[in-house]
Amino acid sequence: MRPAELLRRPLPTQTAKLTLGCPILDRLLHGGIPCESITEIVAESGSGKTQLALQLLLAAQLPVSDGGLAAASLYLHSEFPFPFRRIHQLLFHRPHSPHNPLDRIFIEPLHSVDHLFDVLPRLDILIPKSNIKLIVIDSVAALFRGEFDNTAPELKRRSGLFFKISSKLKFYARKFGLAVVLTNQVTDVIESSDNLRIGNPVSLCTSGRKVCATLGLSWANCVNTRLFMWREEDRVGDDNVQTRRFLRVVFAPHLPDSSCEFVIRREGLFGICAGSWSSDGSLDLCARVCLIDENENIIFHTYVNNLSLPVTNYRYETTGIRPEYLRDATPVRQVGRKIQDCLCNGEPIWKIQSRTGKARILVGHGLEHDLKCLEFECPEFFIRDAAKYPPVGVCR
Amino acid sequence: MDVSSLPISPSHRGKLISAGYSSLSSLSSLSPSRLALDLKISENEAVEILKVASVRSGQDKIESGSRALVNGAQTAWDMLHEEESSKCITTSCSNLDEILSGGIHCKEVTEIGGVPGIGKTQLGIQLAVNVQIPAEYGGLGGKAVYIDTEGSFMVERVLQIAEACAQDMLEYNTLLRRDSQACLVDKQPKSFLDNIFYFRVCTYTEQIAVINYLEKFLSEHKDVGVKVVIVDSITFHFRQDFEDMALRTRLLSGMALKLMKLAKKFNLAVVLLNQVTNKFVEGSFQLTLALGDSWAHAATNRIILYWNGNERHAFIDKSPSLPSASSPYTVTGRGIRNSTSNCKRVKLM
Repeated sequence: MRPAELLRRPLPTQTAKLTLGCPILDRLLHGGIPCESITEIVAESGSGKTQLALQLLLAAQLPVSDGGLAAASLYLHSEFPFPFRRIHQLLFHRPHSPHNPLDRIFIEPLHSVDHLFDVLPRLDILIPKSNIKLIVIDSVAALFRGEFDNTAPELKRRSGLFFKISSKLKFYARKFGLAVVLTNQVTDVIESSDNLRIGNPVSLCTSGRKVCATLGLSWANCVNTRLFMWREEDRVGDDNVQTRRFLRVVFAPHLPDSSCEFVIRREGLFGICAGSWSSDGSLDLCARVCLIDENENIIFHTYVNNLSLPVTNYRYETTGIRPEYLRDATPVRQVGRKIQDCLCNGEPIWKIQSRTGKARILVGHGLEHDLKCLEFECPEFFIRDAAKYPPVGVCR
Repeated sequence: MDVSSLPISPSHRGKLISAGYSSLSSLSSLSPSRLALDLKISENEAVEILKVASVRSGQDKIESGSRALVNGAQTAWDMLHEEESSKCITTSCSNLDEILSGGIHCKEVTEIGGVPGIGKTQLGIQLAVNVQIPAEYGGLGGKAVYIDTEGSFMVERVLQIAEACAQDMLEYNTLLRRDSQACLVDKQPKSFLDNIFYFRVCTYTEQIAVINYLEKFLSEHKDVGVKVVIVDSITFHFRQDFEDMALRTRLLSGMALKLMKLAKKFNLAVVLLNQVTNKFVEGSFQLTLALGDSWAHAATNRIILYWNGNERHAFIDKSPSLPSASSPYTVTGRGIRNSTSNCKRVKLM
C-alpha cells in the first residue's frame, strides 16, 4: 500500500448513518449513529443504555431506505447476562420479516481485556463473512474497572490499551464502514470550588448527583462522539415518583450540545418532542407576529396579548421576549384580523382567487401550528408551507 | 542547464563531471570548501567555479567566498519584509485572531491542544474552510491538506461551516461592493469540499508514510496552492503501547522536522492538533499537552484550549512573536465565532 492511496477523493457529501428507530432521537443526532467512527453512550445503571444498544442491533437490519444498514451486527457484552427476553419482546413489536432477525445478531461474551484482544483480530475475517455493519461493546467500563490498580505504571499501561483498542476499532470501522457503539458507566465527581476547569469536561448530572464518565481523560480522547443519558426523579403527588430520562450530546464533531427527553416503552426507546408534550399541562401560545415581504421589509409587527393567561415561561433565550413587551400588546383576535387584512390586500375574502387579484400569499414553515395559535383560518391556496414541501421540510 | 557550457578551464570541467556535478542546480547550494575537497582543487579555484556557475544560473549572489557559505540564506530584513506581506488564515473568531495577530501564520507550525469536546476538530475544519476564502475577500485562496488520524472529520459539518462561510462572503459582498455585481461569490459549499485533500490514516506507520509523502504530493500539486496542512491529531497513534519511548521521541521529532521544512519550503501553515494528558508532578496530577517535554519544542506556536466556567478559552502558551494572552471563543452551528458573553474580551497577561 502506498501513502497516495490514503487520499480520499472525491469526498462523499454525506456520512452513512444508522437510525435509532425513532425520528425524534434521529433528529437529535442528525440522522443517527455515524458510521466509520466510535460513538460512546455514557450513563448510570438503569438509564437505558442497554435498551438503546438492543434497539440498534435490530435497527441495523433495516433496509438502507429505512435508515438501517441492511446488515448483521455483533454484540460483545461484559455485563451479564445477555437480555434475551428483552430482545424477544422488542422483536415482537417489529414488522414480520422473512428470516429471524436473531440469526443476524452475533453475540460474544467478554470476560477480560485480554479476551477482547483475542476477539479483535478475528473480526478481520468475521466481519466480511457475516456482513456485519454494527459492533456494540456493552460495556467497556466493566472490562477495565476491576482489573487495574490505581498506581502510575498500571494506569499508564491501561491508557496504552485504550488507545490500542480504539485504534483497532477505528481501523475496522474505516475498512468495513462499521458503526461502532460502546457503552460506559459513570463515576461520582467530588466538586472543587475552583472555577477554572482546564481539564474536567462539562459536568454531568444524573439522579441529582454530579458524575463524569469512567476511564478518565485518556479514554475520552479515544471516542469520536460521546452521548450521555440521565435520569431525573420528579415527585408527583405524595408518594408517586415519576422518572424522566434524557439523552444529551456531550461532544461530537458534527453535532451541537443538545438534549432530548425520551421514554422506554415495551416497544423500545422513543424520544419526546419538546413542543408537542408538556408535563405540567401548559399551552404553547403566540407572543409575537411579524410579516415581511419578499424584500424582507416588515409589513406588520406586533406583540400579542393572550387573553390575560398567566405566562409561565418566556423562553427568553430563543424568543427574546420580556414580560414588559406583552403588557400593552394587541389582543389575539385583533391580530388575526389584521393579518387577514394584510393578506387580502383590500379585497373581500370571498372574492379572492388563487392566481389573479390583489391578494397575497403567505409563505412560512409549519404554518398550521402558528395559525392555530392565532385562531385564524385561511384558505388553503393562500399558503405555501415549507414544512409540507417534501424537498425542504419534515411534516410534523 | 549543463556544466559543460560553463566558461571554465577544461580540466576543471572534466573534474566536475567526473565528480558527478553535471547540472548547475547541483552546484547552487554547495560550499566552496566542499567543492574543493570533492574536486581536489584549491579553495580559490572552487570559489571561482561557483561564481561562474551562479552568474550563469542568473543569481548573481556570490560576491565573496564567505557569502557563498551561506548561500540560500536570507537576511532578517528580508524575512521581516516577507512576513509583513504574508497573509494569515483567519479563525473566524475576531478575538482569537486578535491575540494571534491576524490568525494562523504561514511558514509556521502551530500546535493546538485541549480536552475532548473543546473544539479542536472544529477549529481544524474551520481553518480548512477559511484557507479557501479568495484573495479579494482577504483570504489566501488556497487549498487544504487534512490528515485525519481519529476519524472525527465529518463531511456534514464541513458543508455546514462552508455554507456559513459562503454566506458571510455574500454578505460582505452586498455590504461593501453593492455596485460591482461582477464580483459575485461563485463558491458553492460543495466546492469547498473538493479543495480539501483528505487523508485518513489508521496506524502510526501510515501517519509517518503520509507525512513523508507530503513533500512529493505538494510539489506535484504546486499549481493548486495548498496553504495549510492540518493533522488531527498528531497524538492518537503514538499513545498506544509504545514500549520504546526513545524510538517514539525520535519518530516524533523526525516528523516535526519534516513538517517544519514543508512549512518553509511551500510557504504554508502547519496546524497540529494535540490531546491533553495528566502529568504527575510533585505529588499531584496536572494537565499538559501529550507527547512529553521533547515534543514541546517541535511547534513554533502552542495554543491551549480550555474551559473557563462554561466558556471556551484559547491561551497562547508559547510563541516567539506573540505575547501570551487568552481570549474566549464559542463553537456555533456556523463554526468558530466570537463569544457572546459580555465579559472582558481579550485578556493580556
